[in-house]
Amino acid sequence: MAFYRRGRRKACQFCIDKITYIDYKDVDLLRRYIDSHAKIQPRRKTGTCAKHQRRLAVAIKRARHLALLPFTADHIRLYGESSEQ
Amino acid sequence: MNELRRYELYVVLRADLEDEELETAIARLNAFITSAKGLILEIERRGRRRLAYPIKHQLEGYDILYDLLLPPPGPAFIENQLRLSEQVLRYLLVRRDDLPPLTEEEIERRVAAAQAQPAEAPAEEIVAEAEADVESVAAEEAGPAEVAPAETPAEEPAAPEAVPTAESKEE
Repeated sequence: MAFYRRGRRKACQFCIDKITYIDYKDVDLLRRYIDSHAKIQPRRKTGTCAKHQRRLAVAIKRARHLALLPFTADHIRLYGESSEQ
Repeated sequence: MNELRRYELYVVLRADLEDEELETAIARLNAFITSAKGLILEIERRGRRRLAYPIKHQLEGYDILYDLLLPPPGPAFIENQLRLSEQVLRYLLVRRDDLPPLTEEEIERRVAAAQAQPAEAPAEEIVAEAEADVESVAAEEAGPAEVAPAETPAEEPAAPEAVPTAESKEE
């Protein structure tokens, strides 16, 4: 089965904004790149280029260490995975 | 001056400390940097905030951010001290080589500005105080959860034990 990619490839937001240093303190920015389970989103979903995805991942992990971001979403951490949905 | 490197230090302190304890904890952090022969370019008190997950049963932390210049053995020394500090819940010390280098005058100006900022006792006194504190604070550390905020006893004088139970339930 062939994979189809519909539409245009999304451009990397960091390249567009010419951001070189992704700050781990910028929680509002980083939040856009984690899903509702607090997982880091893959490039294929966000369109981030490889270079920025690596830096983004480091920034998110730093933020998690400082408890600026969660490792797991509260609803899972507190009530278990089975209670999802 | 070339041997100094630019770092950023982010420290999360426990937020259940009394104001004075918090100040001495911050003074100790400053003392670590001074004794590592580091220069403080900026101190930003980001203040109290809710943690994304509990750390040592604490739901809140008090954040402090430093912009620093450190000579080579500095980071290892500071990290060691931070690891041993019980008021420190988390810390992050990262190199900031991505920032453009500062000129000598700029460094002097910013160091002076950072020193003027706290508007407390002169730097030497803080260092001495903080060093004297190390032992006394360590001795007290046995019961850290007992520090009840001033408002709670007014409402419920009988239940200071309610605080730790509520926290452990969050686990």
